[in-house]
Amino acid sequence: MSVRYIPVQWNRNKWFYDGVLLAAAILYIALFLYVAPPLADHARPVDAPIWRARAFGTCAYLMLTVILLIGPLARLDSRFLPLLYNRRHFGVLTFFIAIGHALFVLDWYFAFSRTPMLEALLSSNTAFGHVVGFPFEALGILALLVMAVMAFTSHDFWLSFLGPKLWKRLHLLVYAGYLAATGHLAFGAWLDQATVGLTLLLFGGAGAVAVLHVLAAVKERRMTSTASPDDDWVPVCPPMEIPDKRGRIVVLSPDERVAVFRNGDTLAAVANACAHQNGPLGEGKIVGGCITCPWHGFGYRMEDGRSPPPFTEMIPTYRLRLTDGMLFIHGKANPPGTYQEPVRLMEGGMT
Amino acid sequence: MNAAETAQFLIAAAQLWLGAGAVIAIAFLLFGLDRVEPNARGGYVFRVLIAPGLVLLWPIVLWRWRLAASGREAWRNRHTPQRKAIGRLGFGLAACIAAILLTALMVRPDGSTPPPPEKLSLADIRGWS
Repeated sequence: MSVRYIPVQWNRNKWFYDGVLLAAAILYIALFLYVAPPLADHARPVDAPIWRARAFGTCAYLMLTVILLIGPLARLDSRFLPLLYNRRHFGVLTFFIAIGHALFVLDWYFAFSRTPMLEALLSSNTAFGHVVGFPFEALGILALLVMAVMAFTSHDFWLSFLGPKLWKRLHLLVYAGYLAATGHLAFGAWLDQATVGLTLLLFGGAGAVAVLHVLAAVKERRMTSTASPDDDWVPVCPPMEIPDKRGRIVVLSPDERVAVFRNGDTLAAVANACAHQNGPLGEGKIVGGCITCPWHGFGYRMEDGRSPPPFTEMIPTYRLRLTDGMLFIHGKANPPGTYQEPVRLMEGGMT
Repeated sequence: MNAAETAQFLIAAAQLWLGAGAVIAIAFLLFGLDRVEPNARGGYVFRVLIAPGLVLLWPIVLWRWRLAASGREAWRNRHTPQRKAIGRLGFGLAACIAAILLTALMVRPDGSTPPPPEKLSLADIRGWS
């Protein structure tokens, strides 16, 4: 949260997460390098440097695939939320492994001529007008560039400096990066040698990413109730329809969502976007009296949308009223951190 | 412009971009960071980690630096994520993945494996040479 910046904010959970991640990546690369070669098709032998490049390349692609699976999985089933917790470290490690792949490729395919390596890489294949023989190297460069932007802007400073909205937009480039990486793999290594493993990785991984993103988008459309902003006050639902210590997301306009929370007999409304990474607060719950973001655990008091001291994050609050057993919300947000008297229910669910 | 010249131009442009970024990154780290970001005061090691991003994204850095220094940014901008756009992106991603995989399947060679290697005798090799 917003305290003095340090290089990396590690805690016990993050150490564990990163340790498992690193061990899995090392294990994958070791298996690829030492177990897979004897099982490979000896009709088309592959040189050791190419094995190394492919080990790192497929590892990076697999990691990028898992990164993209975590988001929709967490939206579909909250048991996957812990995986979301430290996804930025996952992304940074993926970038370094992708760099390893790029260096192995440069040092093998482009290292034995008088032409400088980068120049050779950029000029060796320029058949952009062809599907077969398409310069998949360019797609790899694009994917690497996207991963670089994401890794370089992964520190909390960037979230604060750019603002969560711009930061999120920048990090949505991961979709473009993943498509580029998929094209790089499909039109490069897979067209050259469609082994069972590579086919599974490409079609199974990318297919799972596609299917889960569609399922998550469909679920999100279903779970949000849309309010008509014609009136200043828009209906939400009867208060007891909101489960205790949970929220209900209300869509005021295409880009404005509000999270209405119930904590026992108290109701309050705040912006649905967490001040940290714009995580969906309405999908979180109340922990220790604070609305807690499901993504990274940032907490906000119900009555004023402020993080408890020493933290300083603030989110907008909204006015609520209860009329004839129906909860209404005012469509105009209060500035972040504004105190707003919560609605209190009398016995039987009415004020 | 042939392929080699294009490659040289791209590399020179990238060097120029990164050179300009390095100058702006140093200026921001020395004169801008502590003013626009209160949480940066007293923290120094993390600056090494943010430097590559400052170099790479220097036009955005300049824009945000100016905006933060002027205090003109609307608070609402920080709290209205484009969730609807993200949903649409999910559908778009799925469609593009399907297009890439289908194209790869269509242009893939018939999949027949080359003939297995033939074991040659020493006489064959001598005869060939």
